[in-house]
This record gives sequence, C-alpha cells and structure tokens, in this order.
Amino acid sequence: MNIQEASRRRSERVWMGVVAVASGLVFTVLGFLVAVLVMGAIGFAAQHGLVHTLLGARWQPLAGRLQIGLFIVDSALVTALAMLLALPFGIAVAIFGSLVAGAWERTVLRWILTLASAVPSVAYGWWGLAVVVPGIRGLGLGAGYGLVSAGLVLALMILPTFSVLAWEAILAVPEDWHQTSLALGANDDQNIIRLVLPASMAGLQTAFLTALARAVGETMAVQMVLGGAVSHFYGLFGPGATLTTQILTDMAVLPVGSPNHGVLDFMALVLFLGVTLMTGTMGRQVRGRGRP
Amino acid sequence: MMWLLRTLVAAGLLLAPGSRQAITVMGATSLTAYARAVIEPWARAHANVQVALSGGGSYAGWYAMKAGQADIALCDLRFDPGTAFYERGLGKMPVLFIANPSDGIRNVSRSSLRRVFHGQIKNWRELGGRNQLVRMVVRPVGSGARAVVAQSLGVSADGPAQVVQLSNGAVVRAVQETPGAIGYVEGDHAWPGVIALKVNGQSYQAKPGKWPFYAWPRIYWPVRASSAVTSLAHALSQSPRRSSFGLITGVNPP
Amino acid sequence: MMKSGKHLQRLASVATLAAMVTLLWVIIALCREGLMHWHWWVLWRRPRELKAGGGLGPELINTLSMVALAECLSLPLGLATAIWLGEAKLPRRVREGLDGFFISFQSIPAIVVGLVAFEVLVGYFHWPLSVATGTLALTVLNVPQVVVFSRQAMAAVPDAWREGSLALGATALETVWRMVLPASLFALVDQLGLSFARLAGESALLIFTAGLNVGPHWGWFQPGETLAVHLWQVRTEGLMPDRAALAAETGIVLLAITALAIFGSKVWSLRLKAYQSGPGGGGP
Repeated sequence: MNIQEASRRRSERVWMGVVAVASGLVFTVLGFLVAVLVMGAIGFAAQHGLVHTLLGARWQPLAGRLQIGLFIVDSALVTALAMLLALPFGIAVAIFGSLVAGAWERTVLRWILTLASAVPSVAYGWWGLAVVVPGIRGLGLGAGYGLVSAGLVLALMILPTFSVLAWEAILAVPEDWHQTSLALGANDDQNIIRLVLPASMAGLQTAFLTALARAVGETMAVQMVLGGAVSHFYGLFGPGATLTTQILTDMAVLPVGSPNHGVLDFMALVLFLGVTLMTGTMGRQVRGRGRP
Repeated sequence: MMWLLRTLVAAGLLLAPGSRQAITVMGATSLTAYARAVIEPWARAHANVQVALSGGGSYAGWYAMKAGQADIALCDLRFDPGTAFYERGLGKMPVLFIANPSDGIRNVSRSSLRRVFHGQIKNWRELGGRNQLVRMVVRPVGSGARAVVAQSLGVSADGPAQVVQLSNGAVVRAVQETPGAIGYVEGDHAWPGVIALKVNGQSYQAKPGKWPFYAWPRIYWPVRASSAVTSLAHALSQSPRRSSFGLITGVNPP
Repeated sequence: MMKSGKHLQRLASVATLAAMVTLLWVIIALCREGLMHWHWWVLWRRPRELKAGGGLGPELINTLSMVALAECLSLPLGLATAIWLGEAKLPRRVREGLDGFFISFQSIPAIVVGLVAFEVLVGYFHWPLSVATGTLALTVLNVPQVVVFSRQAMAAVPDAWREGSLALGATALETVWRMVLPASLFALVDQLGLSFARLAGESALLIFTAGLNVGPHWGWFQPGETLAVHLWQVRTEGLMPDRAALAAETGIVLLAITALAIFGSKVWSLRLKAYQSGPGGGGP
C-alpha cells in the first residue's frame, strides 16, 4: 500500500514535470516572439520618439517618416464598428438559439454558424468586394472601399465565433434559475434582461473579448476592402489603413534587415498591448460585478 | 501519455536537416508567376536541389539576399549591386494605364495623366469624358509599377484619396468594378473589362517601341554563390519563356 | 398567467434570421462560383502557369499534411500548457494574467508570427522555405488558440467534480487525466475542427515560410505551397487563362476541407457527449 502510494506520488511528480516542461517550451517560444517584437519596438522608439510615433499621422516609409497615429485611429474605428454591429446580432443569435428556437431550428442554426466559421477569411473579403463595396458605392458614399466596408465585413466574419461563444455562455445559466424567475412572475423579456444577460455576463464578456482579439488581428479580408490610404483621414466612408493591413502592405518596403523594420514590430506590439489593456480592464469589471 | 513523448521524438527526428541543397528565390510578386514557370523544369533537371519561391516584394527579396536568407532576389526596382552581387536584367515590362469603361476616356495626354495622379482632375468631364468622379487605384509604395509611374509622371508618393491594392490582379479587379477608376498594371495581358488607355495618342499594342512607361525587372545573386544558384540565376535571366510573361527581351536597361 | 413580454424574443428571431441569411449568402456565393466551373481533375493535376487545365494536387497534399502535422505538434503542447495553468500553484492574478496573454496573442497578426519564424528558422538555422518551416510556423500560431480553448473547455467542468475526485484520494494530475480531460473531451474535439479550419485558411504567414511553389514531390524540405496561398497567388498574379475558374475551384476545395474538418469534429464531439451523458456511459 505504501509502496504503491509512493510510486503514485513519484509518477505524479514525473508527469507534472512533463507538463511543466511542455508549457515551459510554449512560454519560451511565445515569450521569445514577444521579446523579438519588444526589442524591435524599443530600438525603433528610441530612435524616433514614442509620443511622436504614436500621435503623428505622417507615413512615408521610404522617406523615414513613420508615424502610426492614423492607423491606430483607423484600427480602433474599424474594430469598434465591427464589434458594435456584431454585438447585438451575436447576442440575438445566442438568445434565439438558447431560449426561443426549437430543436430543429437550433440544429440548422448550429450548422450554419459552424459552416460560416469554416469559410476562409479571403472568401469574406471577396464577398465584401462583390457585395459591400458596390453597395456602399451605390449609396453614393465614395468609392466603396473604406472603413465602413471593412467594419461590415469584419462584423460578419466574427459573428459566428462570437455568437457560438455567447450561446454557450447563456446555456451555462442553470435551468432552475429560469424556472424560479418565471415562477416569480417575470415575463420572458424581464427574464432575459434581469436574469439571463446579467447571469451570463462573465461568459458574454469572454466571448466579446475573444471576438475582439480576433477582429483586431484580422488582416487579409480587411485589407481587401479597406482601400489602404495612408496620407489623411478621409472619413468613415473613405479609404484608410489599419495597423494590421499596413504591416502587411509595408512588409514589402520595410522587410527584415532594412533600417526601419522596427516600426512594424512597434505596430504589432501596439496591437498586442492594446488588446491586453482592454482584456485587463474588462476582466476586472466582470470580477467587480456581483452575481444575481 | 507516452504517445505525447513519442510524437515529440518522432517529430524531432523527422525535422533533422536534410543533406540536399536548397535554394530560395524571393522578391517581387509581379515576377513570381514567371519564376514558378522557370523553376519547375529547372528543379526537375536538378533532382538534388530544392528550389523554394517566396513573395514579399522587391525590397524583401533584396534584403533577404543581402542577409543570406535568400539566394536569388527578383526585383522590379533597381538596387546597387556593388561588387558582391551580380545583376542581370530580365528585359522590360510595359506599365499600362487602365480605366473603367464608364469613364468615357480612351486617350489622355501625358500632362493630364500627371494632373489626374496629382489629384488636380476630379471629374472625367474635365478631360472630355463622362460626368464621373475620378477614382485612383494604385499600388503601394515599394512596388515597381508605382515607381515607374511616380518617376515618369513626377508624381509624389503622397497622393489624394487613393485606393491601394497590393497586386496587379487586385488593381485590375478594382478598376473593372469601380466606375470612374483609373489604375496601372505591369505587363500587357489583355485584361478583361478595362480599357488600356492611349497616352498622347500612342497605344502600347500598336507601337511598343514608342511606349514611354516601362519597368525593368532584374535579378540579383551573390558573386560567391554555389554553382547551382548560378545555374538557376542564368536560367531565370535567359529563359526564352520570358516573352510569354510580358517581358520584352533583347533590350538593355537605361 | 399570460406571458405577454415576448418582444425581445421576437426581435432576436428577426435579427438571427437576418444574420443567417447574410452568412449563407457568403457561403453560397463561394460555392456557386466554384461549382459552376468544377472539374474533378483539379484535385490531382499539377499547377500550370500559362496554360489552362492546371490543377492543385500538390497544394492539396501540402495543406492536409502541414495542417495535420501542425495540429499534432500544437495540441499536446497547448493542452499541457492549459493543464499546467490549471494545476500549478499560481497566484490568482498571475494565472489571470497568463490567460489574458494567450487571448491577446490572437490579435498579433499571423504575418508577424510568420516573419519571426522566417528570421529564426530561415535566417538563423538556414532551413529552406519548406513544408517543415511552414508547419512549425503554423504550430506557433496555433498553440495560443489551443491553450485558450483547452482552458475554456476544462474550466467548464464543475469544480464539485474535481473536489469529489480529490476527496476520493486522486492526485491533481490523476484528476485531470481521468476526470477533467474525459469530461471536457467533447469540447476539445469540437474546437479541433475550428482550429484545423483556421490553419488551412492561413496564407500571409505561409508565403514567408512555406513558399509560393511546390516541389517535384512531397518532402519535409520541399517547398510547400498550400491551397490558401495558391488561391492568393492565382488571384493576385495568376496568368493562366482559366484563373478565375481556378481561383473559385481552389476556394471550394479549401471550403470543403475546412467544412469536413469542422463537421467531422462536431459529429465526433456530439457522439462523445452523447456517450458521456447517455444511460450506458453514466458520466465521467
């Protein structure tokens, strides 16, 4: 009995070691990746000035003018637009799927969402080119390539991910809470507003953050419909460039080994830190809120 | 949980570097179709060498080759090879101006073309076309076609509201679909749905010799390269297939 | 009692319908274009540059092998990291911080991961642009995803079950291995298809690590163009006369692969779930 117990403890230690080594490897590789970005970004910021780079809006990579303020604004606008659109629709899908739909509708809904999340991002970009861009142009709102088009395409892209996660968050509300709420005389609307949404808030926030992180990092589909203008801010319907699309575009002019490559690291780091900051503050809000 | 260890070990063994020689060709996306066509038969004839091709643009190819990460750089911009690198021209490739049929424009003068790309002409009506806003579709900074246009028209890189597209194909598509659009592409490939503009009454197709807008694609490789790299570089710079990919051979760069 | 307050539900139904119609529109548009020009031989023929009638056989094999290998590498690593995050004795704030790190990591554009992989593997270790380099880059891209979904799946297992297992004398890892993992297996399998689909659709990262062409045959260090990269190449600089059809066909093959992966994992996951909660399974 004692020997058995000792060998169990030993194998526990061994396996914990294996797990620790594997995760150590993961932390090393990802940490190295972030360290590469940080080194490049620091080197760049030391040379060009942090405030200047972040707040300026002049971008002429070959002339060495590398200010990313405009891209930060455009990134924020495109992402905010996409999230604003995806949020109500995603929650609607989640509410419909978990509370309204019958078994048959639920299955169909699941299949569509699943299939939609399988569609490669380039296909969303094509759809944007074929439908959204001409649509915006048809309304007489410019060439069609612009922040709003990108926001629309992006919203559609993250909708499946967000709604599935939100759906699961709502499903996690225990069934007897619903029963109690309804038995206390709440109607369905009150049940949704007073019970379902508050009770699943933590899960909804996670869903929101995961979708947000995806949205901020999406490159290809956004680039296809965004227009890529870097010299001025041309309004919501005008062309623009986000941090990700500009990293993609100017990889060609500022490749690894060229003098100003660091600005691309800097931009990637800004994305990473921006999302981390948002995750941090939102996460804290969730924790601060009481459960019903 | 043993499978976890076994998987890692097996993967480690498989990943041990091979003994075969590998060549990396990297550079301008507009030349990758041509490079693919040359590399395929060359690699078949040299079974002990593996050739990989990557895009990323002229600068990326040039810097990667300088740093020893790539062996051959494909460029549609000129770099200074110094004494450490060989430079070979692949010929010349026309840069054509294309317009959406709705613009109602077939011929432009060189000076109005300059004013269009400066943003001074806002509506095609000003050039005798239809009442249609001008919408520019351009390539990003660092593209060879953009450099040719900027140089020969004296247009700065910093233009008015332009739609930037990353490749020839994307430019063609955007011009096809956007009323009022004008753009430029490398190579004479009879793109459908767009009008190749005459400049000063000259059409490229009628008299290629008189056409003023040409890019001069080149390849670069290190002087101290292996014989395989040298052989592939020669294949790339001399292949008779160049003409099928829009390159005009038998001419010397300016 | 009459329940009159159904406005929100009605609103949700309408919004859901609108969202589903739009998503179906994207999917059907892609399928329609691809099926209009469909030829079976694209599945095995080699690509051609200037003539019509090229295929995407090597690209298909590269996509399947690279993504499968990347999953084989990233799943154990990501799962181990998730287990470690759950079981190691960490202060709560550190654990939350690390969880946040993995979520935020998804916002780093894939191309940045590709560039660093290029710098290290190609620049430093002098690997060729190849199947191997691309696979490793995909692995690095995928690990944070695996960690995030594994953490979520394992967190969904009720704490009471864990406490029960520990109270019965099981060690922490035995609890994870015998109880938590089997109980969350269906959720993990469910996510597997999605992560497979995401990797198969990746292009920007692979242009720098796996290359834009294919070798004469498959091999670790042969150039490894995938379907998504081929799609990009054909759409952007393709000169073959049938490029529009070829791009659409490539798109539909890619969609078929990702859809199969997702549906496969979904069906498998549902079966696991049914088995676990079914009368015979009796739970974990």
